[in-house]
Amino acid sequence: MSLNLRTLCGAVVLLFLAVIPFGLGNYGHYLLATIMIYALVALSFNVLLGIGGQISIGHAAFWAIGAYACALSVIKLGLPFLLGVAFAGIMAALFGALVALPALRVQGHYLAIATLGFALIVQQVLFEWETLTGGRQGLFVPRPSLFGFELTSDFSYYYLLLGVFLLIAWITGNFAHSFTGRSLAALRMSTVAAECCGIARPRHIIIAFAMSAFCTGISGALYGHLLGHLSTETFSLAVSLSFLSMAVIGGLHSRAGALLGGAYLALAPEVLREFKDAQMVIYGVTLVVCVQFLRGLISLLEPVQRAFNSLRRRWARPGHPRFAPGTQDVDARDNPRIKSRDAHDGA
Amino acid sequence: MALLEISRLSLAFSGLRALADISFDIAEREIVGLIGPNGAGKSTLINCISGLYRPDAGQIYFAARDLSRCTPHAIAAMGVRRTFQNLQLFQEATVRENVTLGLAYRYQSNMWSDLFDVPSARRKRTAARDEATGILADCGLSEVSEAIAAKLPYGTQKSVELARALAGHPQLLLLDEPTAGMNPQESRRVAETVRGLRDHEGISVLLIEHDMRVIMSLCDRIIVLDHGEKIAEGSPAEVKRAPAVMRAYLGDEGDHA
Repeated sequence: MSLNLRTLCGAVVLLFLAVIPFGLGNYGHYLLATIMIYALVALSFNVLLGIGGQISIGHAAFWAIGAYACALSVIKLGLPFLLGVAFAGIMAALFGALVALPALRVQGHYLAIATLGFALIVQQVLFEWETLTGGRQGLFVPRPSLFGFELTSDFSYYYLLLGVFLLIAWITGNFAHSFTGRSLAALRMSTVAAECCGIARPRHIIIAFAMSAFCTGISGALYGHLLGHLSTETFSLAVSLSFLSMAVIGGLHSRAGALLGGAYLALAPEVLREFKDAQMVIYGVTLVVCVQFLRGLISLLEPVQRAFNSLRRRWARPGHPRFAPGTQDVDARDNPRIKSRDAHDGA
Repeated sequence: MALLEISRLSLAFSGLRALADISFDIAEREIVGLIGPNGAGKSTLINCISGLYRPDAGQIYFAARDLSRCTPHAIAAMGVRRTFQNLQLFQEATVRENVTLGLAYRYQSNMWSDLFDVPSARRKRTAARDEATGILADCGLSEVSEAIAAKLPYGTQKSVELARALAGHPQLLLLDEPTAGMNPQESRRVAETVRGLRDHEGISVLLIEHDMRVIMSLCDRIIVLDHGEKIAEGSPAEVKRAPAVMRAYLGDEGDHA
């Protein structure tokens, strides 16, 4: 009787993701793979922006650091592919912790500019450091291999990516429910109150940036092996901006939203190709609508959830505490972004 | 020995003197009232004790440590908790979550056990939840425990903030106008609660309050600030009679001309 909409939807989506490659061709597999890669980045914004309220328009830098760290460690150090990916995540996390230091001092627009500056520096350094990154020529990345088996097709690579996505989604979900994650959210909701509750701001902001950079670094590592070739142009400012907008458009407060954001970034250019120059207008409008009126595209599913909840309540045996009607739990999910306390402004 | 010792505390905001040479102390199990006209520096003083402001000069000794050199979260962890004049709740969170966050720092596990949700982290969450349930019951908030904080009536929100402060098992509680915006009944209930905290839990309280009935009935001692200076200190009866206090509140005779 403990039927839960989330579990149900999760199972359906998972089944769908597991089966869909069989109905698609090579290009379809490639697109699916990029969805997973982008969704990992969206997860990283769930942590940083969704929970921590910290903005970044420099995530292309962490993506780049991950991509180059993995490729170079595989090529030059001969690390196995999966170890290379882990190494990439750790490198990115270290840089994430570094970027957290200015974030401890500045907020909002200033933090946005600081992260932007970081991204430009990283891109420039990678471009100039020819002996390491190949500079203008770029870097050829071998196909990924697992325990001696080369993953030659995007079909098999997609399943690896799906696995990594699920693993990282599990970890970020744990984080959101943990005291570390909830304390980070408390700092977002009221920094002074959180500090006066004994919550150390520096520790939590550094963890948020490091974790976010870790996820993005892993994503970058996996992307390099999908492309087979790295060049610094791949990690431009535009990429940072589209990462941020994708995460917001998908929805910052759920893992399903991250998946949706990844799908949006990967598929929208395909779907909207016919619109040519009008594409940008459509992107812009979508972003504005998502920011102003929705909490990401995922929130479009909220009416479904409400309907399901009311049905469940009707079916529930009366007096069963678990399904007691009118529990505030529903309100919490329907409207977690209450801002105003205007009723009491005068006090 | 005093629980809190403040000596020669001074603070200026870009030349504007907010606190000037303030000294006083608070004993264990004592309720000290802090009164004075608007802008006298009462909230500034509490902000200094809780670490949100760093004083320019002077010391704040609590449990043999100088709070003026500590971060707000360290001070909170030492057992100094506060409420805010303008509510500072975690608005989007439930009442239960607000209170739980008040005690979460004692249940933090290391990051790795959080990320992989190991059983020990889960046990700590359950323990924190149980403790929060107890505090919610003590504060009469059980019925609204799952409500979103921002949606509650003002008086209840104030109680939530007090409950969150108590969740930290404070030795010293700093209350910045706890009854502002409340009706007389609610004010009386808050006064009773504060008295109970002193009598039964042995908590010391520094209380900013404008309601003189609350101040006079509740406080063991009263400190009066005006323009950042301490102009009087003593029992409620003494302070009531002090000429400096009359001047601060009513102005000099000459002012009426």
